[in-house]
Parts: sequence; C-alpha cells; structure tokens
Amino acid sequence: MVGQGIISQGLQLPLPILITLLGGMATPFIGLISEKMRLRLTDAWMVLVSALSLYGVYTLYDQVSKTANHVLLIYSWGQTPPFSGCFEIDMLGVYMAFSIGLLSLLVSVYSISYMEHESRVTEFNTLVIFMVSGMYGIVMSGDLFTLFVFWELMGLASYVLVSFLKRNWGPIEAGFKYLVMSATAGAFLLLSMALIYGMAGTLNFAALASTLRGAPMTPWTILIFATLIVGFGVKSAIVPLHTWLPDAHPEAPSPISALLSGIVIETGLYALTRVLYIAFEPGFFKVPIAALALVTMTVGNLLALRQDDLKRMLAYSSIGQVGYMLIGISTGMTYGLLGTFLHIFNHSLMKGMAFLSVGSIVHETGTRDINKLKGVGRMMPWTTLSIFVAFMGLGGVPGTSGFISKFILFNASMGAGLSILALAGVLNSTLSMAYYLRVLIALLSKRTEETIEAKEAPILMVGVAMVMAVLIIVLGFYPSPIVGIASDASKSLIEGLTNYIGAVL
Amino acid sequence: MIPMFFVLGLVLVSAALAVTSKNIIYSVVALLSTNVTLGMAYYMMGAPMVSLFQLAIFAGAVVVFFVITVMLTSGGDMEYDIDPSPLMNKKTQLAISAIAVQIMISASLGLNLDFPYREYASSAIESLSISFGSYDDITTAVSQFLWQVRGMDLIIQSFVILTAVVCTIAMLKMRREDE
Amino acid sequence: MYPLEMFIVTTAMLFLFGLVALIMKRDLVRLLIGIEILFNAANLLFVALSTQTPGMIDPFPQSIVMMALVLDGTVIAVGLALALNVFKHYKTFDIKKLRKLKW
Repeated sequence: MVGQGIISQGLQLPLPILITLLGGMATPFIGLISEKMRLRLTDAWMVLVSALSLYGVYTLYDQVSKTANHVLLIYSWGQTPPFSGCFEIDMLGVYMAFSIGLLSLLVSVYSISYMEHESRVTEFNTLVIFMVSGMYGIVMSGDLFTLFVFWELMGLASYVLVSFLKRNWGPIEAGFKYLVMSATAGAFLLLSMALIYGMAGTLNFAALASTLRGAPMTPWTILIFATLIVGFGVKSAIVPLHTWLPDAHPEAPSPISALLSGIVIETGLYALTRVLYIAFEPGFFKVPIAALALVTMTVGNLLALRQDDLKRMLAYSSIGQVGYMLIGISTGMTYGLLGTFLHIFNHSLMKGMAFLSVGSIVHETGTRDINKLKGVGRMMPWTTLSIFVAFMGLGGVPGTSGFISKFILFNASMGAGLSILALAGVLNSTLSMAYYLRVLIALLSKRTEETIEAKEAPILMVGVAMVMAVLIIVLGFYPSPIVGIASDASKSLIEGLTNYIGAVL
Repeated sequence: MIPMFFVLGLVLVSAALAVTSKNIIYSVVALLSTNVTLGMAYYMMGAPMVSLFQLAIFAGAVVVFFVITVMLTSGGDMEYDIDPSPLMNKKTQLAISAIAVQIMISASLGLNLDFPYREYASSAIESLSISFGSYDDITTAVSQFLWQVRGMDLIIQSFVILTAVVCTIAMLKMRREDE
Repeated sequence: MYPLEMFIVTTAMLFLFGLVALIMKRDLVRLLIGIEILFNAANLLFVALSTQTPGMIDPFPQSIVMMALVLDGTVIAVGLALALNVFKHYKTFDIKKLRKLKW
C-alpha cells in the first residue's frame, strides 16, 4: 500500500527543523489561549522554541562529530537517496545552523519588548518561527528541490514580515517590491533546476558532485551558472540584483531588519556557495564571482555615504559586507572559505547588534533621520556604547572579531592571485569607517533644536545589545573556538567532498 | 506533431495577449487561456496528473484570486487602463502573436540546439531511472513515486501552505488600533 | 516522442514574454501576471524533459512540477494580498505613484 511507509517506518527530520515546525504550528493555538487570558504567551513560546532549537543544533553537532566521515545523512521512511529528498549535514551545516539559532534566540528576546504595543503579535511570532525553520532547512538539505521548498518557506514568511506595520505606506511598498523580485528569482531557480536535471538526471547534491562537476564550459553550463547566480543572488543582495534591499530593510520592524540582514542574506549566500562548489570546478567561476565581489563592495560602500536615514545606511553597508564574503568564495581555497564563513558569523552578530541598537533609538524617538538625532547619544549611553562596538567591528578595527575575518579574507585573495580584490577591500573598509564615524559623531555631539527628547530603552532591548557587544569583543581577543569550528566547516566543503559523496552513493 | 505545434502556438498567442492587452480584464482572461492550453499540452505530452494540477491550481484558484482582486478594486469599470501606449492596438497585438508563433515553428524545425540530455548521468542513475520507468499506467506510477520517494517534500509543503494562510491573515486583518 | 527543441524554444519565448511584462508594465496586477508566465515556462521545461527518454515516461520531473505548482500558487496569492493593501493606501495600482520605487 502506498501510505504504509509513513506509519510503519516513521518520518525522520533533523531535530531543529522538527522543533521549529511543530512550534510554529502550535503558536496560533497558544495565541488563541493568550488572548482569552490577556497574557502574552506567544512571545515566551517563541523564546522557548528558539532555545530548544539551539539545543537541537548542539545535539546535531554531537552526532556529526561522532559519525565516521563527519557527514550525517537523514532520510525518511526508507527512500532511496539519489532520487528522494534527504538531509545531508556536515560541519558546515552545523556551523550555519548555530549561527542561525544564536541570532534568532537573541532577536526573539529583543522582540518581546519591541512589539509590546503592536497588534497581530501572534501572526508575527508564527511567521518568525517559520522563517527560522525555513533557514534551518536550507542549511541542512542535501537535495536541490528540498532546498527550494524550504527557500519558499523562508521567503513567504519574510515578505509579510517586511510589510508587517501595514498602517504606513512605506512597508507595503517595500514588501511588494521585495516580493516581485524574489518571486522572479524563484522562477529562475526552477529553470536552473530543470536544466541541471536535463543534463545530469538527478537533483541530489552528492550525485551531482560526482558527475556534473568536471563539465567543460559549454553554452549550457554557462546558462546554468547565470540562472543560478540570478536565482540565489536576489536574496543574497548581489549587485545589480540588490535594489529591493535599501527599501526593505529600513521599512521592516527592527527585529526583522536584524534577522534579514543578519542571517537571511547569509543563508542565500550559503546556498549559492554550496551549489556552486558542488556543480562546478572552482576555476570555472573564479573570475565572474571576483568581478561581482568588486562591484558589490564598491557600490554598497559608495552609496552608503550619501544616506541620511540611519537604517538605510546600515542596509547599504550590508551590501558592502556581502561583497567581502564573495571575495572568499571566489578564491576557491579552504583558507578563503574560512574567511567567508567566519565573516558570515561575525557579520550576523555585528550587523544584528547594529540594527537592534538603532531599533532601540527608533523605538524611543520615532524617527530614523540622522539630522534629528544629534545628541541623542548622550541621553542613551548604553545604546551608544553598543553601536560603537558594532561599528568598530564592522569597520574591521583590531580587537574585535571583524578584524580577524577581514584579515583572513584579504590574505586569501592575495594568495589566490586576485590582489586587486585585497586592495579594493582595504580601500572600502577605510571608506566604511567614514560613514560609521559620521553617525557616531552625530549621536555624541551637542543637541540642537531639532533633537527629539529620549530616555534609555527598556532593559530587555539594552540587555540583548550588551550581550552581543561582549561576545564581539571576547571573540576579537580569543577567537580560537569559533575559528576552529569555522575551519572544520570550510574544510568539509572542499576536502570533505569525497566523504560527502560517499555517504550517499 | 502538428497538434502539438497548434497547442503550443495557442499558448504563445495567449501569453502575448495577456502581456499586451490594454484592458485588465482581457489580460486576466488571456492568462486563464494560457493556463488552460498549457494544461492541455501537458496532457498531450503524456503527463495527465500534472495537467490535472495545472488546471485545478493555476487555471482554477489563482485566476479566481486575480479576478476577485481586480474586480474589488478598480476593474469594476471595464474601461480602466493604466498603461496607455499609442502603439498598442489590435493590429500590433496580432502581429506580435503571429511573429511569436512563426519563430517557434521555424526554430523548432530548423534549429539544432544540441542539448546534452543525460550526458552527465552516471550509470547508477540511469539504471535506477529505467527501473522506475517500467509500469503499466502513468498515473499510478506518478502517484506512487510522489508519495514513496518524494513524500518528505510533500509534508514540508503542507507547512508552506499553512505559512501562506497565516501570511494572508496577517496582511488583511483589521483591528481598531490599526486605523 | 516530441523533439526537445520545440519545448526549449517555447520556454524561451514564454520567459521573454514574462520578463517584458515585468520590466515594461506599470500596473501591479500585470507584474503578477508576468511572474505567473515565468513560472509556467519553468514548469513546461520540466515536463518536457520527462518525455525524452525513448520507451518510457519519467515520473521524477512530474512529481517536482506538481509540488512546484502548489508553491508558486501560494506565492502569487500572498502577492495579491499585498497588492490589495497597496490599493488601500494609494487608491491606484500604478507603480509610478509609489514614491520610492526606483526601478
């Protein structure tokens, strides 16, 4: 019989995905109960689900370390892997899942006090849990179509979360533009999947890595490469597909901005890296990705100079940071990938913290314009301290973890023969310090007549920002635990490819 | 092969009309025609289950959503038009559709695109595919394949549908404090 | 059964129509119509690939297309809900009236 497999052999999913999916399904019911009792249970439920999923990531790390080749294969009810959807988790998947879990836990604690006076809080929490679940699924999937299903899950939740405060016109417009560009990218992704299937007969990552990898550069493989870049590049904010980002990140509520800039972009970049390293040789895409990295860095940093809107400047800065991460991908060496993944983790902490602190300022004063915020820093000391640490990290000042990842990236690019990227990277870092310092000076200067009065933000929001600041400084002086895990992760992408293939075939 | 050319030509003509029509209702009806003829093409290609899904979801539910949205907002008066462009009248539309069908027929008969079909498929994949392909009836084969091999994606897809429902509720909910 | 070039050319032309609708049209509903044409093109290529092996019909792409159809339908439905909200704020579907959209 067809349906017996589910009942007799059971559905097996990795633990974080299972926890977040079931938690997200239960949240509307808890919302119903909490409305009757006039308590706010859904916020506590979201924090609980995030914490449990982080624990699930830890058990996954344990399991992956104990398996023979450091690759864990999970598939459901006895299905044959080359054709069925499967989850193939190596150290890279665990590393990205850890980064996702950490930021989602911090943001869910922050959003308890940020969304205090909003309506539709139940839907907000449900959608955040589903978005995080989609991201877990992307980093753990072993098959292109499973990745697509989780990609759509993450995308759907994020379209509506961007346009959540629907009483103003800004979020609605930004959300619609984001939806149109992202749905077009989904269609391009389906087209690339059709072409890959036509050429290789399968959509499984391990099977593709064993057959499609050494293909010569024909027009059809170039078409696959181009559609993959467009399909994944819209979510990763690669120039010129980035135009939704400067509108969507400022207009979203601040915890969602932090999640979007911190991990959604990086998950898109992870998916691009994984599929490129599996389907092509590194020499194939070295020059195009290096060109894209150069353009993305420069455009992001240059356009951030003229912004007066605080969050819009941070959004353009995110585009610049994605350019740095692309440098590491283009090198094709383990050392370069180490820099990319380390920078992914650091950027999620630093940019997340920057958006959360700026969100505290926006929550208290109600404006994002920097000319109206002169001197606010003196009234909100803790928030300004966390913004200071975040900007130092983003600019790459020694003593913060951002310096280490940027150093590795520029070093690796010189080693791969792409010294122009290192030069452009150093120039762009210097340029970025210019607009970061401008914001800090404006915050700490004397107050003018236009300044809005503000007091310090609520304790939960400030507390989360301080925790992240401490993490950034500690990791800046003592980076070995995170560098160790990141180097395991980057090794598993290139040198562990034979283990990856061997687990399935 | 001639009926297949006819049906694919109808698809292209309907898509051209959907993109170039001035009236939004004509555009939605042309979209409906595109989806229905594409469903017929799927049936003729030998994929009856896919044709069923296409007719039920794309030509059924999605077009009804389009008609509801357009009629509720501004299309109630049928003369509504946002993109007036002086070149686009019925003759140009007919010309564009005719050119599209002409390109399709001549290109598919004359062009040799040399698609490397299954060139990079390993022998294990080939043998597994052949074993899946031996059956009596395509519908039972596809439905068995869908549940036995791709079942996990179906379960995750149900969560996507749940997310879409919560999304629509969040976007269209009206409370007094939102005003 | 049928030569593959026929379907690849149709897919390419449908893709072209969808992209033209996205780039050159000002009406929000027409943008969503363009997205739907793009999805149809990608699904057509998948189903066409299932008919190519001589002697049998491949059930794998057909399963993929069935799931992709459902996912695309939900994306368009959420897009229409957002378009309704745009109409509530601006009283029109015109893109040129949305002040920050710089295409």
